[in-house]
Amino acid sequence: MTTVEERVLILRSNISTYSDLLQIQHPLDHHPGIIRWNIDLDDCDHVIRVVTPNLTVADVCELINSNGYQCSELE
Amino acid sequence: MRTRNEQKELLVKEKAIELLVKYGFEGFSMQKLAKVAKISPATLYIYYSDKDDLIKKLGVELGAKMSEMTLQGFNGKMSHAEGLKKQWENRSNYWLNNLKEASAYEVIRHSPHGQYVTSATAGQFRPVMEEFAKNAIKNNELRPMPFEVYWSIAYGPLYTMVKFHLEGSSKGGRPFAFSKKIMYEALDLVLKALTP
Repeated sequence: MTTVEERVLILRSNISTYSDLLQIQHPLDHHPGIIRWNIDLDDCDHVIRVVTPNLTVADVCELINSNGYQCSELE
Repeated sequence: MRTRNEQKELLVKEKAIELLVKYGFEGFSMQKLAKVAKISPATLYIYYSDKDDLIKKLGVELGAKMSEMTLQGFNGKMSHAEGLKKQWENRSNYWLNNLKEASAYEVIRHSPHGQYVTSATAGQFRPVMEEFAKNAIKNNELRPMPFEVYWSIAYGPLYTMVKFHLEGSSKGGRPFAFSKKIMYEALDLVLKALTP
């Protein structure tokens, strides 16, 4: 059995409402490089948490930017 | 890549308990927690996917500890008097020696995640307590009655006195301190009420 190393990427975003979330749900759900993801809409940074074997913060930001939203790495 | 650190995780739990007691469920936030635990919010999100995830995991852990402490030295085959005495000792001990954790668990129990957390805890707890009550009725040590009536009489007086103790006073501001002596005095009356 091979195991895939999972990395957790944490980003802040301007995805602040449930309808914003619906806009990016499809591309994130169906991205082959994303194992699972979630957004904490209650948090002031609207934190996106992405579990991935191979994507980088830049890759995820590009994906989110291309769907009309902003994000950056949360320090 | 960020990695998990057990010491840090323990500190996060300890601070989460303090914040829940201080601000309640609504006032609790991941940002506040990161600040008091002196870690970056990003690190916090490594451990927990969001606030709800954190509260649920913490609640299940606190519930398991409460069950474990409540069931220590107790089993469903004990006589009713012996078993209830053990329950009173364990429950008062849990509250008086784990006040922060017990209070945080109460906050979570009354939050939107209360049902999730209590059903996760009930698995280890309920079967033993049911066996205890059934045996007591079968052995004619306990009169049959609705569960809520039993619980109110069996544990209501204990929790009322623990509450008085934690507040430092009882009705009308009368000073009150819980003691083994007063606990056994009340237990004696409770057993008289419950015995056929």
